[in-house]
Amino acid sequence: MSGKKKTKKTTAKTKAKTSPSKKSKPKDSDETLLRAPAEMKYAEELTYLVKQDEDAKPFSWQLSPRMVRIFVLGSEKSDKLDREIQQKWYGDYTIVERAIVTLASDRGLLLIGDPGTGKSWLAELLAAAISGNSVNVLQGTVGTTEDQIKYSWNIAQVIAEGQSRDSLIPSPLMVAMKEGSMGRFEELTRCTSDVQDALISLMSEKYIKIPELEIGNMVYAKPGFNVIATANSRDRGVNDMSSALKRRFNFIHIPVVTSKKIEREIIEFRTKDLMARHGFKVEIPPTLLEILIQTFNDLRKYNASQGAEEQRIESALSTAEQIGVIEDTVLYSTFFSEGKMDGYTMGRSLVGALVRRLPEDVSALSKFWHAVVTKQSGDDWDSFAKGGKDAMTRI
Amino acid sequence: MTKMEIDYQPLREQIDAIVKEFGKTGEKPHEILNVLLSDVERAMSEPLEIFPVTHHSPASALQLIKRLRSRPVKVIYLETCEDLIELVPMLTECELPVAFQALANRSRTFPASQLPLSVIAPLTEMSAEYQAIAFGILNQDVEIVFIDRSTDHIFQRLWADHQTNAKEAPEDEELTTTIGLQMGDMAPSLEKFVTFLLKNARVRHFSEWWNQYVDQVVLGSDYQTYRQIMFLIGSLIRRLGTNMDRLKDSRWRERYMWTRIKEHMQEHGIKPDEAIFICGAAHTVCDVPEFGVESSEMFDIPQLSDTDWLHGVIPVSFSMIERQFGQPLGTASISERAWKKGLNATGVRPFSLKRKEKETQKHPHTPNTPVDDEALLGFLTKPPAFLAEDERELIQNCMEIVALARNHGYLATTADSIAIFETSKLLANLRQRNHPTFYDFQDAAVTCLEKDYVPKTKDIFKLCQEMIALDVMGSVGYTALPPLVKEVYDVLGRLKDVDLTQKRIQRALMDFRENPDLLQCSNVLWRIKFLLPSSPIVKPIMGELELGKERLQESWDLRFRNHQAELIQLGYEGISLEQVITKRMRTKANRTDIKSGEVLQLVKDSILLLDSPRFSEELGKKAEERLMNDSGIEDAPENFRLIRELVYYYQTTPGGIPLWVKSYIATGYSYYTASLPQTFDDRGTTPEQIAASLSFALTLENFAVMMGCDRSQLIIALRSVNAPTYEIDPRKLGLLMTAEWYVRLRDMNSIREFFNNLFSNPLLLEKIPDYVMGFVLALPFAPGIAELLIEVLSRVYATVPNRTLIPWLMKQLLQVRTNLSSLIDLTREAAQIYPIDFSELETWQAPWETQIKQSDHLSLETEPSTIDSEKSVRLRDILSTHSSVIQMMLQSCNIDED
Repeated sequence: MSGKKKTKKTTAKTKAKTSPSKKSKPKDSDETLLRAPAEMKYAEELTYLVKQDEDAKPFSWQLSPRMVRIFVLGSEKSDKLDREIQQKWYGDYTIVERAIVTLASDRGLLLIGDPGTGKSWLAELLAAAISGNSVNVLQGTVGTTEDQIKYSWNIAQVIAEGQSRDSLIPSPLMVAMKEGSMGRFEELTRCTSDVQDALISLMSEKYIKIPELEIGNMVYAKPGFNVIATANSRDRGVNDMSSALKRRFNFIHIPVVTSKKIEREIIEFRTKDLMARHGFKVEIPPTLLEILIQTFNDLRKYNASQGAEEQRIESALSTAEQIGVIEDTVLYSTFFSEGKMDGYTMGRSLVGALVRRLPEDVSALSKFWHAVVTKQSGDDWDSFAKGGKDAMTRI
Repeated sequence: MTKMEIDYQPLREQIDAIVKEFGKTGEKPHEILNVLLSDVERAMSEPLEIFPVTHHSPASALQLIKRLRSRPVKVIYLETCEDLIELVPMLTECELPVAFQALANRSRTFPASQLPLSVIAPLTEMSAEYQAIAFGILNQDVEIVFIDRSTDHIFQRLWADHQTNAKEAPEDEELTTTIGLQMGDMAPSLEKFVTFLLKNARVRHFSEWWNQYVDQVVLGSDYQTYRQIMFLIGSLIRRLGTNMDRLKDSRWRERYMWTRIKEHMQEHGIKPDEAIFICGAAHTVCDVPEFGVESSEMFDIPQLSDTDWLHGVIPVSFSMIERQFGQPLGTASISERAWKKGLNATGVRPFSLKRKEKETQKHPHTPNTPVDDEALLGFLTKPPAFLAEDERELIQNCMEIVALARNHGYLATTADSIAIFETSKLLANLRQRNHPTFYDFQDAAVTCLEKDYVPKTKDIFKLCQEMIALDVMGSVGYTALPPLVKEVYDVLGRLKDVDLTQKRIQRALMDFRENPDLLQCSNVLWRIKFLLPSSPIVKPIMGELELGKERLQESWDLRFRNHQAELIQLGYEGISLEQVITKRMRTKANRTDIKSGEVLQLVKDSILLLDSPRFSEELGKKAEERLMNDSGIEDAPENFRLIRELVYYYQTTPGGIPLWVKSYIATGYSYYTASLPQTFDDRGTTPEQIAASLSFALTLENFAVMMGCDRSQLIIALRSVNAPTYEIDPRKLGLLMTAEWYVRLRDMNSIREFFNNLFSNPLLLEKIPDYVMGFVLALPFAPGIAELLIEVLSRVYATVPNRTLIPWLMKQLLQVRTNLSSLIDLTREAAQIYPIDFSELETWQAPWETQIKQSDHLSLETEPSTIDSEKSVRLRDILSTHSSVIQMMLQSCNIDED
């Protein structure tokens, strides 16, 4: 759910710095950020939890596993805390528990699931809670090289001063090793298999050797270092992981949320969060939310029932898409229709968000629209159906 | 018993102090804490020793064994339906788990739609009730008394509820599903309470919570601590976790139980300290006026209803128990593991009926363990401690799951075992437990072993379940079996190399030529197969039971050990298999909605299975009766097939065809001929049905004529078909024409003429296959039409253009395939007409081509004419005598001969 663009940017920034190890932690400053990482955003909660925490902590973790769980899943009365901790990730609690204990064990954590199921968000929360730092992120792409996983050189400095630890640019994972914190690897399976395998030695031996240097040519991981990777289950088979690497990860599958109740909670939580960035508060009318969730549920069923690929809607119908639609609707209605949210705008936003390929998506969506949406009764449904139709005719 | 004097005053003061610190006195929490405490106090001070249990709890069973071994009692009162007591002696030969069953097939109180009523109460070795019963059986001087309401009362109350509910919401629910009973059922019924409990304890099911937070803790505690903890939990769940309906029912039962106890004590002069009352923990803290031996209140126990109850012991399996009570898969196996672990850890020896001889020596007196105050305090303040066995078990599980995963295609090694062990520990720690439960272990195994896809069919979650849920199936000993089952076992005892008590599938091989005695075994097996058609208990591998076929060899797969229960259920229906079959067949034949064909099928089955001609005749008469009440001819194909089979069969028997069969045929003949006229233009009737009814009438005609029928019935019927030909379905028209031809109402030439018309009309070409199909359908009763069919088909192939012909061919092939026997007739006929040799082909001329030329002569000489009146006869005479003159006249008029 978290913006991938953002993480990419952070990676780029980290790489550009000559000695990022000292500066990799985001500084608390008065500067307003478009999107603060979890440890900054929930800094207050984290400080409180650290203070309250009396349980044993594994390695150099700043919180005990129980407190990490509370940070991610929110507090209960039985946790006996004197303030409420907000729930930040929604879904099966065992997923979170399993993820936490995996990080405390010898193996890395690989979150796998459809796009938009909240893998990266969970990874960020875990890293923030455990090491107070979630920005040691490496974004996997087809172009990722082994250098980017381990280290690279500042060429100008090498020419001027020769190879030394100063002219070395450590990768975010190397930084995490040195700090004894969580390193994140986004979209691991987008990298080619041989590049992925660079992780194997890093994860089992827990050190990186720099053969170019004669002195100080080893970087050892401090206790507390581990890797949180995410992978997209839709891309499975593009760059399959080697079984040696698979063994070093515990896989945790994050399912697409299908429970309406949880879906509603997620949408409300994330939308409020996103809207806060724009600096305004919006209450989404419950009927509109209901329409959106219902439509997505129907769409999923519709997609599952279609045999041919071209008759399906290409976009992943995850909760993240729904949040996108809501955000779009809110923004549109705030700036162009005097703050009044209605079904018509949402219908248009939904079509706009889901149509990716022309003309297949439009024809599939139009078929769905006539078979399902137009059959619903109610004023909001009617305007919603009309908005969608208008958008489709205009595309 | 020397009563335990425990002073609860300090605790009460402590509660008051806490309440004062955190809230106000008199508020809800204060009230609840005080009520819980007084519940425990009251139960502890009751002169009749109350032993609180929960269902299938190893801790309860272990504590009970310790208690019974330490100090003997005269009477044991058990919270079990009182009418089940007669089943206790039957347990001696049984292998657990088994269940007590009460079943009613007949009742004058409950409506027939609600029958049968059935109740089962499963018993496992690790349950306190079984241990108490076993103790009672082993010690003759100990009396076991069941004191709970009878099964009859259960249904009386359910029926009363059902009726009041039905008034409010007229949904037609039925009572007929089997009701499961568990002694000491403790599961809370208030959903909110359960959700809260599970969420806070970080567990998934109530059974997991119980196992983790109560059972394991009280397993090793001393007796008085055990009782107090159980009273406390019982009170908690009763006060906070039970909904009103459940509570109302519980109160009713408690009044019943205490009344029965006091009645029994008075009657037999039992003193309170000579007895023990074993019941569910939730019942021990009840607030009914009848509670306690000192109370003189008695409950007015309602009368039994007028219902015939049958009782028996049936084998059950762990998975059946779990399904019956809606428990998660593996609950029973987990309990069993805990039971074995507990036995090992405490060194307690369970009461076992298998080791009866040794046990009859006086039970050893072990000194009563002293009360450990710390234990009680520990329960309230500390998480449960764990035994070294748990650790061993966890390691064992880790190894087993890795091996299992490897077998299912996973890449799993010892490194994974270690990782699972570590992860389970970490998870348990995160969930604030000292030791991982099975479910923690399951989560850990999934985390460590599950990768991006499942290599074979089963994922790790399922494998874990499979690993833990070893299903154990009980069995009932010979003496406890109903007569029907005993007889089956006796007869099948003749089979060599077959042991029905074995769990493995047994293969029975029978050669009747070598050993004709085995036919009896075969009969029994076929009867069981008939009565339990979908059960795998008996499965024929080779051999069949068909009318008129001699059985030579058969082989069967037998699974009696695992499916004994189904056979025992049959035992409730009668004393022998034959009786049950007769009863079922009679009931079925007497149903008002049964069809004649179904009764004929029953007749056939009765001949095969029962060897009772009188009963078959009774059914046969019923079939005829049903046929008379039939409307339409939908069942004609089935009826025809069956009655023909029966006729063939009876023709081979010395007695010949019985009167009822002939009478059935006569009724059928009249009925089907009378129905014919309406069927040709009725769209709801298919050509196959008409074909079957015509076949019935024409092939079985001789029997019908014997019984006083007449062909004129058929002729009249065919003459009264007055729909014009174009309104009749093409396939039906073929049938009609053939039937008319058969009874000489039509000649072959008119049919040819009809086809000539079809061939000449391009618009009708499409329909020709349908017309042909009608004639194919008619082949069974009029084989003579085959010649014409060959002719028509040949003309079709010769004249119709390929463009139209090829789609027909496919259609025709598919249609002919459904009538294979007709196809054979047709091929045979074709073989006679067409040349067999190439050499003949040159000179060969289709017979009909020559025939057509001479058709006039032939038809005049051989074929009967359409109109058989006197006038036509005269005309024919004139034509035949002056044929040459007429031919010349025609030639002179330039009219062609044909």
